[in-house]
Amino acid sequence: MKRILTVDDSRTMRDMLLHTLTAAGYEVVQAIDGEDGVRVLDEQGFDVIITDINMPKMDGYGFIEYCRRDDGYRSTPILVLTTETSREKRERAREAGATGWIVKPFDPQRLTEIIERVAR
Amino acid sequence: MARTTPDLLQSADNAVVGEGVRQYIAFTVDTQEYAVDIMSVREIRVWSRATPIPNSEPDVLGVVNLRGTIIPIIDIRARFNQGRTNVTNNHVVVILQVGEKLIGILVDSVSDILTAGPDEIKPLTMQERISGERPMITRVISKEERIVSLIEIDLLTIGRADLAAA
Amino acid sequence: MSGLEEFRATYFQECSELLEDMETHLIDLSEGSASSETINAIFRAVHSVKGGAGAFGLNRLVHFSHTFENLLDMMREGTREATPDAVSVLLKASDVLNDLVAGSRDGHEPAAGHEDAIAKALQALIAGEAPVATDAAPAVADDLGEDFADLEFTPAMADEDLDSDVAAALAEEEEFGFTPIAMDDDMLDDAAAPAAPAGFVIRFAPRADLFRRANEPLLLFRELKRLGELTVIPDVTALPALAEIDAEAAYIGWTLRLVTDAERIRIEDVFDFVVDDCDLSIEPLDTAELPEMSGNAGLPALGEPEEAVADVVEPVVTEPEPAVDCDEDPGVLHVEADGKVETPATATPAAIVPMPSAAPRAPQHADAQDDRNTVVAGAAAAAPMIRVGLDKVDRVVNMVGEIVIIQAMLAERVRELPEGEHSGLFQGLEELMNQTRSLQENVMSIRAQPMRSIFQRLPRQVREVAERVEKKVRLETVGELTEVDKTVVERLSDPLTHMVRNAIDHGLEGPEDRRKAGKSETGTLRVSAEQKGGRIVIEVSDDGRGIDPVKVLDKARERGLVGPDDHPSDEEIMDMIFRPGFSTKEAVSDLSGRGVGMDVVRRNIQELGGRVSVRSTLGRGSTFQLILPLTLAVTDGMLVAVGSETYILPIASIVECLSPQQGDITNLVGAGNVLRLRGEVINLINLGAVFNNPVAERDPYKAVILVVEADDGSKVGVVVDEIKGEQQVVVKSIEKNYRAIPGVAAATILGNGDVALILDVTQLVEHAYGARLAACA
Repeated sequence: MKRILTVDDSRTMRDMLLHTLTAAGYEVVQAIDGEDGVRVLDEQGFDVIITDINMPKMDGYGFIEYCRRDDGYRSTPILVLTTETSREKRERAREAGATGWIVKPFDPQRLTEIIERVAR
Repeated sequence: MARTTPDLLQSADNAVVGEGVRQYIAFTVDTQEYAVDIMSVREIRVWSRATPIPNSEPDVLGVVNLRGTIIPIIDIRARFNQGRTNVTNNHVVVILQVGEKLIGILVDSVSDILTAGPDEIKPLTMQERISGERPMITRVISKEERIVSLIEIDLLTIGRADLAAA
Repeated sequence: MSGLEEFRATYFQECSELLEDMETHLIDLSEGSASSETINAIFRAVHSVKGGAGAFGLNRLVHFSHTFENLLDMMREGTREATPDAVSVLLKASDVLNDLVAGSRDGHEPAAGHEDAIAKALQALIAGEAPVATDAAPAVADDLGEDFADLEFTPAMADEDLDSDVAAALAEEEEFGFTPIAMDDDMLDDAAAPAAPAGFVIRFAPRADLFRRANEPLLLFRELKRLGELTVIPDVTALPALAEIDAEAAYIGWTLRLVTDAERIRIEDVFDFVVDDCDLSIEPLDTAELPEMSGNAGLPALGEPEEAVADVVEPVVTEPEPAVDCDEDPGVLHVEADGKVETPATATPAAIVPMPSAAPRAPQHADAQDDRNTVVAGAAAAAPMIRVGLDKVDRVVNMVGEIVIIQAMLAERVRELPEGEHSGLFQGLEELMNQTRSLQENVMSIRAQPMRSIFQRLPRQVREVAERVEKKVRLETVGELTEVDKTVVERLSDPLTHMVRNAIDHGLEGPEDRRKAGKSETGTLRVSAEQKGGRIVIEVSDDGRGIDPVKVLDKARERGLVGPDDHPSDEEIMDMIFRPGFSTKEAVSDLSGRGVGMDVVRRNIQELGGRVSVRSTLGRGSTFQLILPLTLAVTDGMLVAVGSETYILPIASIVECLSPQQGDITNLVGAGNVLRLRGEVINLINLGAVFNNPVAERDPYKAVILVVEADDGSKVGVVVDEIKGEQQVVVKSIEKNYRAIPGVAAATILGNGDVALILDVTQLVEHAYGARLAACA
């Protein structure tokens, strides 16, 4: 079973992701912000990471950069989950090393398609 | 004595089975005849030694190894309060599938395969139930002159004492 | 959005928390006590409100929060200042946001235009206008007309810009929000051109950044393949001469021929993430020309990209670090950091094309080969993985179990032979047994998992529970690398979660109470796992108020679990919290309640062949201890004879075996026989007596005593007739077809096919004492 880490400070979004991804047969581990995400990263491996951008403590950009510096996550697909539609923010996430993006609100089926696109 | 299920099932297949008509394996304990639905019978074996379970109820003879699975053997005679069977190599164990569990029942011998329609299955009267093995037997197959008690096998997985308390 | 409606309740709950939070920050802001984080926090709150609103199609809320958020974004970027006037607008905007959220939640939306005045005030600030209007803009738009009048000077440009911004944002959200895709003109053109066969030729050449962002061409191909019939042709024409190769670049491209009825936008969508990191062209099939295949002699087209994903292409050139990467980016030229290209077929473009064949290529350079071997060794060090179905592993586990049984049978036959004549056979058997044991350990280790997977979830669970019951908790975890059978790990999760919740909810005090008790406000919860003598010991301890035996006893009496004249020991009292129908807290709490009590925890643990116990010091805290078998399948056992029966005692619990000498055993009133062993007094349990075996030896001096250690560390002497030897036994469940038997952990099958019971030492001790107590009463 593929394991996905979701990093989002919004409980609604976390729960929706959990529900959608679990129903699609993924194992989901949640983190509530970038810092929490970093802690979880060290504890186990993930096949895909989904992260929000705007979060307290460590934001999405910082979190992605952290992942890309970590040998274990250098080639792990990271999807940015955000309501930000501005090109600039997406570009910044890409610069940090994001693989792709999911724009909220997401359609469950489409979400799993996106994950399949990037999950090895 | 080696009577196996396939033989019995094969002869069962030959019977004409109509609407609601089911087949039963009948066996004897002393002079009494009992039956269970053939669909719940997994195997019929001759008795082999069971490992006693300490401090168990008197009707539980112990556990045996059935191809790597541990299954309990219940002495039907003891279960029906007629004393413990003095087991010999001529006794027969009927392996039953009860829900997710496999259990064996020790009987004197397998006597017949019965085919009975709904009209031949009669519920016991209250009077008969009170005097009989309540609640293990609530129905009988009544065919020609023969009366065969149907065992409610679901209740076999419940201990005798627990059942009495219930 | 189907299937997500159920999260509405969560959303609105979160909203009210966010809004409350936001208000606190706004007050800080208005009082001038704001930190740099304050605006950020407000921004995130509005942002989260907007995010959820989008998910549930609350467009009005999306609109307003978008405007609100834009201003906050500018403030946190420093392009707009949080002047007192601006803060006043923010406060009013937060009121409006509250109204809109409440309206959406209750289905009574505020009147149309309710938010307009404040929205315009926000827009004015965004546009860089002094918020002249805000003074007059009431928080509640009762006088809507007046507001409009006040705001009429708001520059129209800003207004329009913003609206189009929002519209664009919404449109984009729709596009990427995966609502059904509307056809645009381009698509209609493509669809209208009835080419036979319909489809596209895609030229795709990734750049290095594509890989840096963890995108993977083969996965894109796989996705394309779902749209139709795909042919993949590698294209190496872009590969420069060796000297010109840029270490950071990627040179391999592909031409993809996709026969499909799908529209162009579907294809574009597949490349959505990588479009800026590659050269991409998509042309309709009929007009596009395919590259000449004959020019690439010996280069097979990857007709089955799916397979190409599975059978990883043999990498010809590899990057030393990290070595495993070489398996992941087939077709990508990897070079060493110094830019030296490592390729066996120097500068021959065809040579670096991935081959779907598993056959290794013969390197043309001896030193290149050497390097390659180094790389392969590096890959081995990184322990490559394969995925195997659990059912396959379990089949092997079962087969090993059967081998163990057959081996025991064989051993029994061999032992019957006269020893001198068959020494070779004995030796062979011994070797076989060693090998089987090692086989078995290795097979079981496949099923082993670190406790980490459970421990990892604890911090969040602790945080959530602590928040809800308003307690401060520090979590310590120890031994997360302890490995346990997968099934044990899986089935341990629920009981452990429950115990952790219980410890926070019932065990730890609130900050106030802790301070009064002279403790630090933050309570400590410690969860540990360790291997101890063939078992795993898990402890959940807190430094809370502890369990009061007096209260427990009162409650137990109240519940009828203890008779009025019974006076159980403290230990027995503690054990009562595991009894069905016992709960130390009056109201069933939201957290540890839900009808799940410690009795369920005990049952879950017992089903795993384990035990749970508690020890507690009033005012100091409690420790719950779980003891579980490491694996469920096999254990080392000591075969003992009691009368005509053979039982098995787990070797792990045996401390020593002895034949008592005259005077070693004393009969103590109330305790029965005890053994004096090097100054220690050890209670004896006569198995024959406990199991009512009529033929078993009752005289302890004629018997053998096995001193065993129960889980609580106490020792007892088990009196048996005879020791028959050690053996590995396959653990078989009795509960599966029967039910739990007191004093018996499981069963096994001996070499002769008979069933033998594996004893549970701790339960046996409890059972023995219970029987003795009953006898004394």
